Amino acid sequence: MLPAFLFGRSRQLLNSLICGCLKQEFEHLVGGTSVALSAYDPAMPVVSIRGPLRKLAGGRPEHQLEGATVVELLRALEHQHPEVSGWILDERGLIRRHINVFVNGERGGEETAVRSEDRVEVLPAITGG
Amino acid sequence: MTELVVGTKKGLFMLEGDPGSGFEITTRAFAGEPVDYATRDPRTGRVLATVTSPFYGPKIFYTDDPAGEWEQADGVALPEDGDQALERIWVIACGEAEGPVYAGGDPGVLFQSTNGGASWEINAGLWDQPSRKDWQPGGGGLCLHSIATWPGDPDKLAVAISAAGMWLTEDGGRSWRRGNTGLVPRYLPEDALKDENAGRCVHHVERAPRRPERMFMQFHGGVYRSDDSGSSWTAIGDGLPSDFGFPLALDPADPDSAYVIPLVADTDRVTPQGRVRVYETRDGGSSWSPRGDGLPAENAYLTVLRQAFNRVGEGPALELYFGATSGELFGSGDAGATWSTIASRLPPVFSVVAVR
Repeated sequence: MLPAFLFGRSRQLLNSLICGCLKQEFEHLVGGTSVALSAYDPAMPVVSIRGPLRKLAGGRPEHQLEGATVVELLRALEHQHPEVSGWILDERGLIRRHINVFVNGERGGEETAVRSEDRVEVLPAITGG
Repeated sequence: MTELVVGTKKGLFMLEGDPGSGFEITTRAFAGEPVDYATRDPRTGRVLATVTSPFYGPKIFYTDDPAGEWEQADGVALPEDGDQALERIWVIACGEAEGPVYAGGDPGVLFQSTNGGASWEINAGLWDQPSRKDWQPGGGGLCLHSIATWPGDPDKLAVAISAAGMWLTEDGGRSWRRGNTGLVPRYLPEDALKDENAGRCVHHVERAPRRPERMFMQFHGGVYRSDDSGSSWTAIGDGLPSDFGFPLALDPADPDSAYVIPLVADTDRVTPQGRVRVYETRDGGSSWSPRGDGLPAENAYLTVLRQAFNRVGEGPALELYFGATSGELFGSGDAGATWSTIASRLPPVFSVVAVR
C-alpha cells in the first residue's frame, strides 16, 4: 500500500521530481503497486481493490475514477470493467453486506462524499469465528 | 465409470469411480468458496456450478473443462433498482431435449438459459406473481429448490419454493398456478390453512419420468405423492420412522418407487436413533422398507441436505449417492440394497449429482 503522503498534491510534486530509473526504483520501494505514479491524476480519487476484484478489474489494484460519492465511483469502476458488475454493488445499487468501504480510513457507505484527493478502499469484511 | 459432482462448503469436488471399486477425487474447483450446487448437463457435457461467496454474492460459473478455466455466467441477478437482491442459487436443472437449462434461487426466483448456461433470464411470469409480496420464506430463505421438467415437453414445468409451495406451468412459464391441494402444514394453526400464502414448506420434489403426472414430495413434516402432475397431493408417510427430511430420489424405471432419508424432526435434524438409513417404497408409498446395509448403524447423527441425494441409472443397476454435512459420501450400486462409504473427510456436503 502506498503511504498516505503520496496522495494528492504531495504525490504530484514528488512525481515531478522523480525521473527514469529512479522513479521505477521508488515505486518498488513504496510497495509494489502496479499503477505507475505518473498515471495518477491528482484531481481524481483513487479506488483500491484486492482479491478476486483485482483480477476482474484488469489486474490492477488501484483505479482513478470520476465520481462525487462512493456509489458513483463504484459505478464508474463497473463501467470501465463490466466484469466487476454484481461483485461489490448488488442489483439495488447497495454495497454487499460483507463488503466494507473505507474513505481515507473512515468507514463509508454508498452516499459518502468523495473528494478528488481521497482514497477509497474496498475490502471484504472479516467474517467467521 | 460414474462421475460425482459434489458441491461443498469449501469448494467443488468431482470424483470418478464405481460403487464396487471405489472413487477418487479428480478435480477440485472454487477452493474455499461455498458451492451450493453443481451439475454436468448430459446434453452438452458442460459443468455448471453455483457459488455464493459471502462477500461477493451468488454467481453461476460454467466450463467445458472443470480442471481448466471457468466463465462467469451473465444475467444471474434480479431486476436492477428493485428492492430485493438475489441471495443464493439453490439448484440448476438441465432441461429436456433442446429445452432450456433452469436455475432456481432465493427469493423464489426462476432463471432460464437457452445457451447452455452462459447467460440467463429471469422467468417474468413467476417473478411477477401478484401474491409474491405475501410469500413467506422458510428457514433457509425463500428458496426455489426443486425444478421438475416434463419429459418431451419443455412447456410443462413444476417448481417448488420454500415456503411458497408448488407452482405449475403448462405454457413454458408464461403463466403459473399453485399446486398445494392436500398438503397439510402441521406447523400452522388450522385456521391459517385457508390462507394459501401461509407457509407451504416443500423440501424437495421429483417427477417420475416414465409416468410424468406422478410426483413425489418430501415436505416439512410429511411425504406426499401426486398423480395429477402436482395439482394435488396424498400423504404417504405412514411406515417411516419420521416423515421429516429433506432429499428425495426415485428410480426412473419404476414410477411407484421413491427413496427418502428421514431425520428425527425439524427440531432435531439428524438421522433417527443414531442410524443412517435410506427408506424405499416400490408401491407408491403404501409401504416403506429400510435400506441400510453398509451405512453407519450406531452413533451416527448425520444431516443430509435437500440437494445432497442423487441417482444415476435405473432398475437393478440404479446407483444412489448421498452426502452429509459431516463430510461423508455414501453410495449404492444396487438400488439401495448395499452401501459403501465413498469419501469420509470432505467439507460439509451441500449437493451431489451423479453422471454416467
